Amino acid sequence: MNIMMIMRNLLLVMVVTGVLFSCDSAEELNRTYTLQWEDDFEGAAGESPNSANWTYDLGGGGWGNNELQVYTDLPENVSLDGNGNLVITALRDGFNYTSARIKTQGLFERTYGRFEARLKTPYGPGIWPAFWLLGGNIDEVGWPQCGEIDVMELRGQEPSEIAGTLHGPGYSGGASIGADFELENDRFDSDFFVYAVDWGPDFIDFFVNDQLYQRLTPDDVTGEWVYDHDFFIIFNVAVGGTYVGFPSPQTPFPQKMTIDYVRYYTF
Amino acid sequence: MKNLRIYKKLTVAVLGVILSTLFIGCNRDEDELPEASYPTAGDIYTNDSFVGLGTNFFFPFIDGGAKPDVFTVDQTEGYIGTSSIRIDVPDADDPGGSFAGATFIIDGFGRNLTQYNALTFWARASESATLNEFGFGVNAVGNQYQTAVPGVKLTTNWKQYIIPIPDPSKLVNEKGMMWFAAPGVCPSGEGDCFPENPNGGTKKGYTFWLDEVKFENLGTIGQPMAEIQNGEDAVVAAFVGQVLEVTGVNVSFNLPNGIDQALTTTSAFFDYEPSEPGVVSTAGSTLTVVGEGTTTITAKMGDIDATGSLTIQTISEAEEPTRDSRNVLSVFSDSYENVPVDFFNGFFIPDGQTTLGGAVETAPGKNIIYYTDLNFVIPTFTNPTIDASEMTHIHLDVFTFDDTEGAQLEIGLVDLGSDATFGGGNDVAGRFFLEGSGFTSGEWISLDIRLDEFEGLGDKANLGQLILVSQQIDNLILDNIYFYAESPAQDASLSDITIDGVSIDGFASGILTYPVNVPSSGVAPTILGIPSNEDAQVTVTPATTVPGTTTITVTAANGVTTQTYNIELLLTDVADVALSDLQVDGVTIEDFSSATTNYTIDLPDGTTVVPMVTATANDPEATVTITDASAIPGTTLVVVTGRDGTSTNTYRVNFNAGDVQGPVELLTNGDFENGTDPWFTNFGTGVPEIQMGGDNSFFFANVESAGDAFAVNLSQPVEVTQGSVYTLTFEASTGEGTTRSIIAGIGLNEAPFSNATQEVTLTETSQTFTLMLTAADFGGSNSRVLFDMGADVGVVVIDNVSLQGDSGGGTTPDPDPDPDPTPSELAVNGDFEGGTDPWFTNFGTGVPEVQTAGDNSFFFANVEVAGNAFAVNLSQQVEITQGSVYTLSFDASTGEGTTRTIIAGIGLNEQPFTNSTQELTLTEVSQNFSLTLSAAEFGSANSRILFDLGADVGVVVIDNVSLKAN
Repeated sequence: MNIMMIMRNLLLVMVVTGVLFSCDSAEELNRTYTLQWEDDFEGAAGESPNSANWTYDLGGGGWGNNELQVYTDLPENVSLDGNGNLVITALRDGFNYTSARIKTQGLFERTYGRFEARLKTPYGPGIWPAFWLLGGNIDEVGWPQCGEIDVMELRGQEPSEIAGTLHGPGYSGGASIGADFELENDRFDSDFFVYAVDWGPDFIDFFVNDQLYQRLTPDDVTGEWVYDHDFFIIFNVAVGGTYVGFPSPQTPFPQKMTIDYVRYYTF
Repeated sequence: MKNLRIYKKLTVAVLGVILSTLFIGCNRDEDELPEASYPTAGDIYTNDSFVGLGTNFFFPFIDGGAKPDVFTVDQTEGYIGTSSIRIDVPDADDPGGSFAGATFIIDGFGRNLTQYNALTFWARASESATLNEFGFGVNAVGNQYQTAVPGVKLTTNWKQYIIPIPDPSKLVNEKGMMWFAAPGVCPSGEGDCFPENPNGGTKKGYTFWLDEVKFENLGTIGQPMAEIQNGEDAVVAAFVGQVLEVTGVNVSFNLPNGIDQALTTTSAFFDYEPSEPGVVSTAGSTLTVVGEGTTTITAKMGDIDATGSLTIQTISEAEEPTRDSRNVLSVFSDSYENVPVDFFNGFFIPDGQTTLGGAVETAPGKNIIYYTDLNFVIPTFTNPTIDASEMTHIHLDVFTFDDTEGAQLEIGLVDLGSDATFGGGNDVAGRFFLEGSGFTSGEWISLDIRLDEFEGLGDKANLGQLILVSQQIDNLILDNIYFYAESPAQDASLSDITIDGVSIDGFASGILTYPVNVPSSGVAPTILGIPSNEDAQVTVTPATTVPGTTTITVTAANGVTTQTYNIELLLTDVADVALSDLQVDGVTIEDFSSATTNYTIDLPDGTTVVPMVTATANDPEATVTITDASAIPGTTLVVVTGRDGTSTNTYRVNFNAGDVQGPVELLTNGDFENGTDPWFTNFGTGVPEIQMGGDNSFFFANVESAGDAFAVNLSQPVEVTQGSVYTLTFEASTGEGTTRSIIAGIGLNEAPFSNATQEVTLTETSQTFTLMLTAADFGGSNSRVLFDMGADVGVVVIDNVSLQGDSGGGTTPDPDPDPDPTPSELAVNGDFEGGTDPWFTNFGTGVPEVQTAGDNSFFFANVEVAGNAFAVNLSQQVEITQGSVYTLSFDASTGEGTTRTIIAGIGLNEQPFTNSTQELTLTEVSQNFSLTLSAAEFGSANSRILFDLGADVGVVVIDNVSLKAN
């Protein structure tokens, strides 16, 4: 039985403003990146994403967080826009919400390297977009033993703030380890931003637009460092739930997460 | 009152500014004006002082009743620093003024605010209070860019507020820095005081403080939204020279808290672009029609495309009347002196009137009547009534650009009788019907209707009302409405037109155009016109071909007046696949209608011979194929193929013998042939909900604005038995070129209105829908068939509705034999013998969740990883009544040699998921649990029995679940 209990409330929050780390651009880390895999979502409007790369999580039931949406694979919830983007759309029909969650599970899974996506977030109270990685051994060892790397997730009522987080054994859900990154006088839904993690054997670095705002190492986590095996990529837009709260009557729908590309590099 | 004097004096000074500004505005070239000449400072009140506002900048809204002396600088209160702007809102009954409202206008040069995108301020109040509005742009020189956030809620803590600027590039010279309107606080609760509650108490004064007021450029404002015409694509007809205004301006921005904030603002922030040149000239949102044609106005707010548009179609003026004014009694015309008219639109909204509009002056001395959203409208003239005793005709010029095919305009006249007032038992209405076929879209139609052709109208000495009732036509323009007298010598009308000796359908002397279908032979029929005055001369010019037009020209006895009638001969529909007759054993089926394609014939007990079915097509050249039923019961099919060889239509004759255990029809008048009863609706339009098309009646509704689905409902009471399965079939369609959805099903006709419904999508082509519906969680004699149509706009046509119950027998409800019944079982399939339904889970395992051992079925799950309890859940929807106590009992066990916990109980099946549960420990031996659960804090129809299994690992077996109210 796969019980997906994903991305719990973030309690251990250290708020880091961009200014503190602004000198740590990727270039100064002296890493040389080699592109190994990408999906730039080229294709006709309305097409589903490339099935060689993507599969779907489907259905409702709250996804372990009392989320309200039902995930579908319908083009109205997830499809290319014809301009080189993949769009995940959360829709409201009365009190029913549909959205999509796509993943590379079984199709593209890697250990270490740089996972990067350029995307524009949706917004509004109760909207919860995320770009994240999940341990490929989840079906064998379960969650959180498999490990989870949240490259970015955003609460729609805080359109200027994202979180980068690790969930593992002993530090999952509300006890997860991570940091928030807040934009100065800007919003994540106003433009595309590049979100990335650089993942090595003993560190995971979190970036927004190549600005390093957080490094997590085995010393930072309060349990086992489980980031030593293949992980797969997930994009989703959730509606409601324990992390983000419920949408308000003022939350505009539909809400779209627009993904320009996702790339994997070795370094 | 010091401020009042200053204000008045300044008004004069400000007026001077208006004039000079206007003068400059007319002559200057924006490009040559150096913007830098205006200060670009953003601060208004910061760091304990006003910044650059000059000396006299506070202008209370005295003319609006505001108290003038409400503003001071408070040296003891500040968000930053030690001081702030203090406003003392008065009590509503304060003799000095009933509210605080004022604008802050720079005493000096206006500012260039183009580098900012918001007015921001910090505020707190002495108690929680709501400002009616707070904004900028009230500058006493036109308030062109007046903008505000409505309903600003203040708290007792300092909080920042943001007023976004729709398009900062417009604010190159703005003096209105900030303004507000603040009534007092209602002690008995918001909305409970005068004027919101006319009988309520008096609002009480309070104090609020403003600090750090400034224009800023915030990157944290996003998602601009702009609309004109309320986001709709509006279409209007207009005359050259007419001046129109773009309306329905809406603007919102998403604030840093993720919430969309709507603004009240002006159309001046938008730039307008016509699709075609030369039709309109634009000056801001003011449009002047300068040439003929059609153009669509779209708008931009800065870089943002506004949704909505305004399409302007120019039309010519109606032909000017030439009748001698001595023979005319005019109701509405620029050519005659008009009688007094009470109103052209009474806005009888409670009676279901939707019609908007009325008399409009399109240019000096030019008037028309322009109705939109027309269903009915009643121009009324009772002071005095019109004595039309000497009049023979009424004239109306009518125009629409709507599709007139299938439309109908009913024109009525009401005579109030000798008392000349409504009531008194002597009011008489006469009616005249103008069919769409006589009403060409996009042209003025000149109607001259003989008053004796108003069906039902007798006396006409006290005419008080003209009634217009429209089917389909939403937009109607009228001009030159007058009564006139015509002497027999001037009469160039016909009293009848015959085609091959038969009077033409829908003839009226004032209708000059008639379309006529000619059978396939293509031979023009013989057409004759009979003059109203036998001394008039009639000349018939037959069409030379079909299709073609036969004209009848009538020359009045005076030899001068002429009138021409046109009979348009059309070829019969090559796709006509209707039957004109359908017979069983030589007798036409009762209730036969060419539009009804499904018939059921009950034959005598024991009948085995299939009766003979014969059919006649409308079009003699259509092909009819009859396939007899093979046995009784059975269905004989009649397929009609049109002369085009491709169009087909199938009629079904279903034969039942007496004793057949067939499904029983539960509805009456499902085909609406008997009008409305026993159907009921929850709306009234003034338009009959049952309409006729040919000899078929059907339900018709046109939803003009979307809302709750149930807000527009058609229902018929029917008894539903809980647990039974029903088949609902019906035919439905929507308007041409559109699709829309409706909800159809069965449900309770009383609270909690539990139901089993499905959403279906209608198209312009009629579809037959067949829905299988299970009354799983409701039933009773007060149930109904229901159609919910309110969630989507557009026409809904419904016909031939049928509801059939289970044929399995036993559906007749037994009278309750037990006067003191034991609590009824609320769980369905609690023993899982019926499989999964209606249980649901939030996980999928690939393993069936209901397993069977021997002849017993049970629920089975094996939780492999522990997590949140609710992550592995088994539930069944039940209705829970708040305040009631329930007993939940069930058998449960876990795997051999292990123990584990689960959570069991009842709770809401929707947010906030409030529940009443208990944790239990399972062992390998099955235990019977009986939990007493109180629904003290929740209850709704959407509640559930729940088992949360995710907090512990191991097997869970559940069986024999029962829930009863105590």
